[in-house]
This record gives sequence, structure tokens and C-alpha cells, in this order.
Amino acid sequence: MRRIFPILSALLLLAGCQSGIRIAGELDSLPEIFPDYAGVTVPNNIAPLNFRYTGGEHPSALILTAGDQELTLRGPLFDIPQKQWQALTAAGDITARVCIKDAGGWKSHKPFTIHVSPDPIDPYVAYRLIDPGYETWNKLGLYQRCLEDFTQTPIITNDDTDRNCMNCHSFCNRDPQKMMFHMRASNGGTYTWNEGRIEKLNTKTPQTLSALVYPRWHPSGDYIAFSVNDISQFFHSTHPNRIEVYDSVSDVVVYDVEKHQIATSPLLTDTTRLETMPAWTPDGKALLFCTTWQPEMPQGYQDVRYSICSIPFDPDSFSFGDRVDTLYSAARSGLNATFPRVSPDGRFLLFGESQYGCFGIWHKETELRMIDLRNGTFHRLDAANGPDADSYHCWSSNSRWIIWASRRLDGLYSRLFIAHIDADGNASKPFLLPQKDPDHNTLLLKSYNVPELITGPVTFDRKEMARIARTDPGIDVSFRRP
Amino acid sequence: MTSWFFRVSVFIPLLLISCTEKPVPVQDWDRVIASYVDPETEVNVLDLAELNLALAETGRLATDLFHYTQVGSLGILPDWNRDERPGKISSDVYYSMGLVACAQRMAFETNVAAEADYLPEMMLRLIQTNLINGSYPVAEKYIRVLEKDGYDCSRYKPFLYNDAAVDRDPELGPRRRCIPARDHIALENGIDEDLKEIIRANPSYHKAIEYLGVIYLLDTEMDKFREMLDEFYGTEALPTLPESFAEAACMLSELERGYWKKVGVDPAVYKRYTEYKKRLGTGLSMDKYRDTFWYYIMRVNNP
Repeated sequence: MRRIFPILSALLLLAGCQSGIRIAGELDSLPEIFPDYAGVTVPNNIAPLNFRYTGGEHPSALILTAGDQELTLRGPLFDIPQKQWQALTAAGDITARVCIKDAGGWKSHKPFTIHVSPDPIDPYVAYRLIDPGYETWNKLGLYQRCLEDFTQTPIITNDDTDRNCMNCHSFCNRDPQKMMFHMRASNGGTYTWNEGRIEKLNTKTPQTLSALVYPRWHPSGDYIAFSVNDISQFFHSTHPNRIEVYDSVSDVVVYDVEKHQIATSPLLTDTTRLETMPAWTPDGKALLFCTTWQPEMPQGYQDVRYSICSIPFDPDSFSFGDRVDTLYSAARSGLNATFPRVSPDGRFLLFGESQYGCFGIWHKETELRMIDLRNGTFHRLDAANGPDADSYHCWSSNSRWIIWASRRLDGLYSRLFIAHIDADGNASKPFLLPQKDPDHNTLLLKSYNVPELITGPVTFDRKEMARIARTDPGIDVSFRRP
Repeated sequence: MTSWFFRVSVFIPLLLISCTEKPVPVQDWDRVIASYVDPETEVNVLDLAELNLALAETGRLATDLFHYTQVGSLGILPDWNRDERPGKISSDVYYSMGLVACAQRMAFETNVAAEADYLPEMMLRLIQTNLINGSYPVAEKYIRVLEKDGYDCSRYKPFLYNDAAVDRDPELGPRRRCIPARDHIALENGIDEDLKEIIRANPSYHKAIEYLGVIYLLDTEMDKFREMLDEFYGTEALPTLPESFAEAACMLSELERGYWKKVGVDPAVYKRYTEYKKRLGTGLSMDKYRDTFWYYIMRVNNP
């Protein structure tokens, strides 16, 4: 060790000289930075991980090295040029050394590594930007962000549609040409964008509890599973969760995209139970859903503990099996599981686990969990989870990345985090979606809501969508009796 | 030279403006009271609610309430219709009452509904309520947003991540002590039940019991008012009866002889009440009692 230290110091000095910063000494600590990118794993096609030194008023600098690539930037905001970032990520893992200058010259904090994975992530993510509010909404919209740079563009905003509410966007296999979402209040309806065609749907039928709500598109593109719910909320007097969103009743149905018909199974519409948040297996042969017995609401809100179950589905005949399997048992865990998402390779079931309730984003204790569907192994994903709600998760096309909304930064405004999942189901330390200016995360008074990875940008014409919303009477969806 | 001078002369004032921290607007309650004109006919409930709020904030709600024409508890807490003014007043009233969660909720809703990115007064309320709740990261966020836009947040910055400082502060500390230990659905059983929880949690926070009592009086819920006196009179929450409560206690003596003595009503007040009763129904003007709860009741019963 005695021998190594002078060598290391010499190398360090050399590196310092090359970067134009002469490092006079080392500090025995990692730098204080925001976002915390120390030790994260990123896809090789991610935008530059810009960050800010927050450790004090000293002049600061950043030296990034990977292979034979090196880049030096002056702080406190390290705005990494795109091309040089790409050269660094192409060279492999990146070593980041933050230096500060005081009376004794430049001193280096302990370096940290940004691991660069060869697994790429889908190039776009779609999300809703909305105030994390209670009853009122105002300006909101669906947006898409190129993950390879910082470009964000609106898919549609309610400036186009009379300031109504829009929600529950969903894609078929992350395909930006197959998208659906709802508009509520004025221009109400479900809107599908399917291979260049826009349809407005009126989805309340006499046989169903409500208009269609939480969606999940069947991998074939021929069906969309939905919940139908009577959703309410109340406000806590003192609880840090602030509000509780709950269903008084709910069922799960499946919508036939071509025939504009809804069908369901008695096993998905049990009047003694709540069924909600459907999801598909990648082969399309099983429909997953969350279900619990139906307590008296709202008094019984703390007794709502959903299990995740599945029912066979035959896409050829649009029919359901007569057997329900339990994939996650709330009775066994004593906890509550919501928002199931199966990885595209069919191996992992990702979901949110909390104490109770259907709306994980408003539960500070909500954490991501995963079950290996091959052998039932339970993964806690501790490396990915934070001290506040982690919810609204989504898989990448290659099943190697998950993106989700987390309230860990300030306890209220959700931001997008991304983690790598390796072949054994281990999560990496997640990283905050990089922004050109990291202060965006603090100053933006909106939440990122329901991130959905997509393989390219959504291209429908916003004005045309708005025109249809305003003028088209919509197609009445019918209910198909079994 | 001219262009250089022009650039400097324009730039320096701009620099000064951008460096000047502006205060977040706050209400001058004495001015609200002084400028209020008691209407002869139509009462504007928002103006009235602002007046009553000002009375509460200056410690005069249960004393001076009936010195002004009242129209029921809507004059305390107006209906919220997502408009800016009722939203702001509602948040202010809840904050005054000590209902921290409700004050925060109304501030949030009003901020969201605003055409601007936010309303500075409501952002301030979000800072205050999050500090009270110990939700420091989000309070810090709001401070940073206000500071970015040039607002002076120096009053509240020292409380970030400092429970002891919050506890000691005369504005934030008492409200923190108002938070009931047991969580429940806010306003589920009526605002009076939530106010009672505050009174039990923090009996020294007298605004809560003033609001509770005047809401009962304005809605002429005399049974509930009596229950309130039964529970709280003589305790730290209500050691003596303020003017309007004493007037109401006189009326309760119709049902229980000598009740006014039991709750320490000044004999002069009771004497005035007996004079009021004698005059009632004689056809003589009752205007000399316009400032009393009795007159209010008379008007409610004979609109």
C-alpha cells in the first residue's frame, strides 16, 4: 500500500495536469452533488448526467474519464456536452472526480463511478405532467421526452382541449403508433391512436360500473384491458400521506379494439370483491389483476389489501378461463400489492407493495417489489427503492431497465428514476432522469406521472386530436354478454 | 461612448431591481377591519369572511362578531368554488383555526387553479404548513421557487430541518401543537369536531374555541353550543366567556335557571339581556341591541 500511494498520487497529478487542474491534495469524502449520480448504472444511450456541486461556495471542477477519453468542466453546474458524453459512454464505465479549490489549491473528492451498461433503454418516455393535487386541475398535458438528449415535446396538452383533464395513457408494447388515453370533463371520452387512425370512444355502458379507467393494452394490439371503478378520495387530518384514494366498487373488463365491444368474466366482476389495475403477460394468454374483498368504504380503507391474481385469456376467441391463480397473496404477506407489470421477456412481475390502498403514489411506504415468475423468488429491490413513494413503474423493451415515478426528492413532487435489472433480478442504484439543468427538478411545480417507455415519438397531430375531441360525437362502446 | 453609457445606465437599475427581494404580500388585519363598511342590505360573504378572519387574527372574533351584520357560518368559511378569492380566504381561515391540513389543502388547490404559475400568498401558506408538519424538503422546494422569483423568504428559511425552532416560533409552534395525535378523515363529521380535536390537543390556542363557538352561534346550534361550554368552560381553553358567548349563555338560562351565573357571565350583561327581553315584542326599536347575539337571533327568526 505504501508503494501504491505514491504511484496513485503521481498518476493523479498527471491526470490533474492533463485536465488543466493541478490537484494539490485529496479529500476523504465523496462530493455533495445533486442529483446523486455516484455509483449509478446508466444505459449507453442516455442523455448526459448533468449535475450540480452542492458542497459549498468553493470553485469546483469535474474531471470525467473513461478509457482514453477525458473531459474537464468547471462547476458548480456541470453541463456535459452531448458529443463528449457520448464519447465517454462509448468508452465504458466513467470515473467522475469532483475537485474544489481553496486556499491550498485544488483538492479532489473521492472519485465515483458511473457504470455504463451495454443494455440500451428505449429512446423515449411518455408521461403526464400534473400538479400533485387533490380535486383541482388546471394546466396539464401528456409529454414525451427523448432519453438520449433533453428534448421534451407535448403529445397533447389541455391547452388544446379546453383545459379538461386527461389521464391513463397506455401503449401497446411500447409502440408510439398504438396509444390510448382518456379525457375527462369537457370532451370526455377515451381516445385511441392506432396505426394512424384516431378514434373517440364513449365507454360507459349500462352493464358496466363506469367509463373505462385504468388501461393495459394486450400485446396483440387487438384488446385493451380496463378497470371500471367508482373512485373517491378523502383528505387526512394529520397523516403524512395527505389523501387516500379508494374505490367503492370496481371490476375488470376487456375492450375489443376492432369491434368496439367490452366483455368480461364473472371472475372479474365479483360483487363481493374489488378488481382493478389489469395487466397482461407478454404472450397475451393471461390477464393479471389486483383484487381484494370489498370492505365498507371509506371506513374500511385501511383494510384494503390487494392480491395479484391472473386468469387465462384466449385472444382468438375473446374468452376467459374459469380458474384464478394467485401470484401475490395479500393474506400471506399482510401487505398490499398494486400496479402489476410483467417484463417483456415474461420473467419478472414488478409491482408496488404498501400497507393498504389502491393508489400507491399517495402512500409514502410504497416500494417496488418483484417476483421471478419462473421460480417464485421474491426480490425486494432495496437498491432501487427510496424513502418515499415509488410507483407507476414500467419496463424497457429489453427487460433490463425499469422507470418509475418516485417522491423521494421532496416527498410530494414525483420525479422519474431509472434502474437496471440484471439477469438475476438485481436492481442497480437508480438515477434521476437527467435534465439539462438539474435545478429543473426543484423548481418545476408539476409531478411526472405514469412514465411509459416507448420506442419512438408519438406523432399524431395534436390539433387534429383536439378537433376530434371537440366535434366528434364518438363511437358508443357496447357490452358483449358471455 | 453614448452606447456604452446607455448600456450601463440601463443595466444598473435592472441589476438593482433583480437583486431587490420583494416581500410576499400579507394581510394588514387592522386595515381590513378599519376599512370594512357594514352593509345596510346585501352582505358580500367574501368581504364579511375577510372581516371575521381579521377579527379572529386580532383576537376579537368572539367579542366583536355581532358588532357587524352576520349571515351565518358562511360568513366565517365561504363556499369554495375554485375561484381565487374564496380559496385564499378559506386557506387563511383554516390556518387561523389551526386546521393545518385543511389550510394546506386549500392553498394547494387555490394555487393549482390560479392562472399564474402560483400565488405567492398561497406558496407562503404551503411553506408555513409544511414547516409545521415537519415536511421540510417540500417546504425548502417552495422557498427556492419563491426565492428564484425574487421573494424574500428569510422569515421562514431558519426553520428548515429545525424542529426546535418551529416549536419556539409564535406563529408556527402553536399551530404545530394543534395537530391532533390521532389521524382521521378531515372534516368527516363536520368542522366542529375537527375544531374540538384542536382544542383538546392545544387548549391554549384560543382561536379554535372562538371559531367553534361563533360557528355554533351563527348557525343557532344552541344545544351544541351548550355542550361546548359544558366541556370547555373553566378549562384552559375557555377560562372566561367572551362577549358573544356570554350573551348566548344568557339565553341558555331560559332553559336552566341561573345558568348564566354558572358560567361566570357578568351580571351587567344578564341585566341587559332582561331589558332586551322586556323590550322584545313591544314594537319599540331594538336597534340599541344591534351589536348582540340576541339581535342576530331575532333577525334569523324574523327575517
